[in-house]
Amino acid sequence: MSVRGATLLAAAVAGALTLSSCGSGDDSGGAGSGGGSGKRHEIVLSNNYMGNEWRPQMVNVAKFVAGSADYRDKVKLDVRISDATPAAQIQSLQSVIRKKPDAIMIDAASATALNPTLEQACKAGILVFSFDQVVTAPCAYKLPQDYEAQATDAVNWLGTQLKGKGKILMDTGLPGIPLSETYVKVWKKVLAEKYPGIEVVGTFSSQYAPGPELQGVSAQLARNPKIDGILSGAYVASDIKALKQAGRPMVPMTGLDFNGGQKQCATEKLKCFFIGAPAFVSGMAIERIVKVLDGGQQPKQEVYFDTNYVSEAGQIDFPHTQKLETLKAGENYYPDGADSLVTPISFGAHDITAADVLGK
Amino acid sequence: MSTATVPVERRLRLPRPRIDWGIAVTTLLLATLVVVDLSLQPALADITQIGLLVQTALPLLFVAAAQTLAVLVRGIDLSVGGVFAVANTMTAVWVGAAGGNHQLLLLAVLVAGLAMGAINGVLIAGLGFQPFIATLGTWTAYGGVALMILPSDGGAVPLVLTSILNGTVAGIPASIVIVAVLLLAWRVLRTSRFGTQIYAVGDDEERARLNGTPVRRVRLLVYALAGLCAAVGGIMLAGATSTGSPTAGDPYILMSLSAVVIGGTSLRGGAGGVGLSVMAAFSLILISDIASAMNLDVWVSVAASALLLLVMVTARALVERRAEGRTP
Repeated sequence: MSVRGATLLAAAVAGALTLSSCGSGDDSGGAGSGGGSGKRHEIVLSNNYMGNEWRPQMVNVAKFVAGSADYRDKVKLDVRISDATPAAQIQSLQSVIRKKPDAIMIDAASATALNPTLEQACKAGILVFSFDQVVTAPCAYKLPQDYEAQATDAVNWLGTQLKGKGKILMDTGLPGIPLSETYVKVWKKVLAEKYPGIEVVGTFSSQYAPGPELQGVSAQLARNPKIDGILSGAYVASDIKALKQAGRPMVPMTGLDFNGGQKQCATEKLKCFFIGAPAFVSGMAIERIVKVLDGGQQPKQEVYFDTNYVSEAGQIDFPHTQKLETLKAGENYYPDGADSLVTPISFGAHDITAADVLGK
Repeated sequence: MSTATVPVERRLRLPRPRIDWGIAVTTLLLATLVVVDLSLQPALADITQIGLLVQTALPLLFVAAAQTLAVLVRGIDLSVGGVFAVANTMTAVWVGAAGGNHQLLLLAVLVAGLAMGAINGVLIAGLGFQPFIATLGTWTAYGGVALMILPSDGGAVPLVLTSILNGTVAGIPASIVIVAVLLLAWRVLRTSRFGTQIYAVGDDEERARLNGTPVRRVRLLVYALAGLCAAVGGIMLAGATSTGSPTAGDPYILMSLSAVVIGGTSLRGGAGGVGLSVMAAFSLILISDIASAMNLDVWVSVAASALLLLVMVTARALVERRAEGRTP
């Protein structure tokens, strides 16, 4: 290769990178809308993953709220999506910190691995607000879910439905992440202490995605001739599909609040419990960040949602610590909405539609 | 042939300096990316910021070094992800929880890395397993051990480790000094008798054996060293994040292979080196940093890395073909 060749090669790489910037970034919240006369708060949303149905909806709600009439003159939102690993998110955050925005709102790749970097952001005078997968950095504000309470209510519902006896399948989620660790730990503990007659005859790893859940439940159904319930933290719709494909009767099952499973449980009168974890938490975070930046008070930690859902056929009196609502069309599930919608879709004074959430 | 038959211009031609195009291309690539990144982020032209960027690169640099060693003896090491995770979780759980002699415990983590690498070496050099199959198996096994040590992200890393990583040596960030030490260690190894044996085994195992090179021992030691390097990578990540993660190692497996290939170490063994892989690993980190600075979608960074891999592989293949064409 000649020197000219080597130079051309380097130029080609640099050129490819430059060209790729044509499809560049995401700047919402009044970007291009002109905005008002005052200085807008620069908020960076740092997200490390878009590989499931929840995260893109979370990002879309953030864009919606930042661009809404109440906030478009106050907020300039910059969305940063990094690769899924903590190391990639750290690198992305360092690039953000160099630009010194007013606030970083973060759905974190790890509860702990980003702490040193976020402490660095706090020291640089940047407000750090974590939500959903929160960090433990003391300087960060937090809007978490209460995994322990969610898991306890779900297992108590199933235990009561089965009257303390039967054979069930258990979802181990995604090994290595705090959500799965908490769910599995709580489920095992409560089953052992309160429902010793319930036997876990098989486990599967849903990985919080419909495909692996369908595959995992199907494999377990093939191995186990009798199943009385499914304790999952993910896709009820996949469980229903697996049971139907195997020609097995429907059983009580738990999962996350996806519209697809909720629609099926409502119309087919199945016994279902849904853990409430709506994606609008990002919008709530923006509201609170603006409040803090404008000098208002905000608790350092606030559980953002504490309501779970049960289908009409699944209603039963059982011990629970979080609020409980029965599925109601148009309120907490949407008969004409997409299966992938995480419900409920709107909060507070906002009028967020399914199209807004899905980014259409 | 008499000198009288040689054309005058050939006789007068001065010997041209020999240029290693493999090193030149890798260096040029890195330099280009540094210039692009600096032009996009002027704030990066600061020794502290450079130190932070290098700190994020350290885990990949060490895993790339581990992978290079395995590839140099015509092998591959998929278990680097597992060794990395075990060392990372050991640092966050056992070393962090212990009071007092953290240095000794960190040494124990390194020995564990060496031992895990040696197990690979025994499977490959001793029992004759294919490197891909052997390390595929141990990757899963070591990953399981990591999950057993730490079921999910957490733990506490000893303060001494984070202090060292975030410290400076004569005003230079420790992360930069660590890279210099890695390169120096490679230089010492490369010029040693053992270094020569590594290249000999990778180049032509049979010829190396006939020349008296203890091929099996060299292979075993190379995999043990690869384990050591991967363990250092795991410790580096624990230090940078002040925590442990049982799944942190897996993404580094393919990234380290990319770094090896982009750097120019031949997958057929016996050519290349850790220095080249370190430069290539930096290039991958810089691509990601440039993508962050430009706020590009994550797929752009991934696609740019993949494109770079293809371009470099193609360019090297062309160079090799041209070199082979010249051989009489």
